[in-house]
Amino acid sequence: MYAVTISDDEKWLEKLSGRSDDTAPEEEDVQAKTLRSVMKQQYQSEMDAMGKPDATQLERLLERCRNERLLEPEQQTRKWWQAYWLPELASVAAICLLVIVGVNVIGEQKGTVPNETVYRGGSDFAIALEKRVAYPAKSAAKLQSEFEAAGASVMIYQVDDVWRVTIDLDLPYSDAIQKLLNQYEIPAIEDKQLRLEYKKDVGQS
Amino acid sequence: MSNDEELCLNKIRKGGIDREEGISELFELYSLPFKRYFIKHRLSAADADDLVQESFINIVRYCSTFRNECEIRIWLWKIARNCMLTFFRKQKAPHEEIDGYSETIPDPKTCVDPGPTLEDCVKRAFLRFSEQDHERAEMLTLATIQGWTTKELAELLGRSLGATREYISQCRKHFKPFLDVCRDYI
Repeated sequence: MYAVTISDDEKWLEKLSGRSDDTAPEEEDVQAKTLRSVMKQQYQSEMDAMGKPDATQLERLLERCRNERLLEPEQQTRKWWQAYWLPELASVAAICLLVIVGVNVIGEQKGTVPNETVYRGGSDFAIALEKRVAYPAKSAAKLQSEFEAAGASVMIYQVDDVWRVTIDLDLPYSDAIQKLLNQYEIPAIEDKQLRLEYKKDVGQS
Repeated sequence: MSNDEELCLNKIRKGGIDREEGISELFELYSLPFKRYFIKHRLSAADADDLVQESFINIVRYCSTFRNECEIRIWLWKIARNCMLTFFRKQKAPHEEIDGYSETIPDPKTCVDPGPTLEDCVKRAFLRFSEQDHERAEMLTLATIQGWTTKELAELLGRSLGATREYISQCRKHFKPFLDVCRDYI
């Protein structure tokens, strides 16, 4: 097995790069140390003279990276908060949109059928029964007078083209009320408050 | 410093916004040393800027293929040096002995003004050496600043260990005449 020997030249390089503490002939040692110090000073003064990295050059580099598809364009201009917050916001917005569209579609399916003359709507309190008629005001007034005559408390109010009728009932329904419900084909909701809407039916005007 | 470079390279490998961050951080660390290196090889500032950009493009392009065969900093410098050699080849400019070495020993007569102190003398000697043999002078400077070993220098120069030892020997031999005048101060 051969011992790996380091030549004088390599020792000299080690001395220059500051990795050797070997004793050497004094003259060479002093020269190498001085040379190391001189090179370091020279290098530092040159680097100082160059200033700071050029931001324009960095932008140029990033732009070229984008052009060469080494960087993804969409992700380049985003700040950290945009990167993490915007996708979340987009997801939430998409969900909201789906919910709104869904509710409208379902609501429309449940609440409105063009040219229908029967009451439509849900059986819960939140959704009113709806009917399209030729004269909503007249129909609402007739309903009011008949239900009031049967002992119910009726309130009417108008919002745009819709006449909303709220009828307060006592449970169980009296025969007179039940007769009116049957007459108007209003589905039994078994609730103390009956909410109806009359809308203008353009097909019947 | 190697840890910084490793972090940058990992970010570049990740892609996306991490990649931009990695490139920016590596640019902060290496753009000026690279530019200085190119200017030392007598390139204009504009050409040096172009070569810095080219070096970084190659770093980004090939970082996924780097398998730690050598120190990251050596790999980075190797890319910069190769970009410069390619540039010289394309320009067909006389880049002297950049990939070889001259056998002609410099004329010691150029070292006529030693200066008042040993440090001045060595400084002047090294400057004159740089004027005559900028490639070797620059390689010695980088080895000194970066603390490179013979093996690392061999990696950078793309030479065998034996050839690199010969290269170091030639550097020393070529510099010696300039330094001889400083012996009087010791």
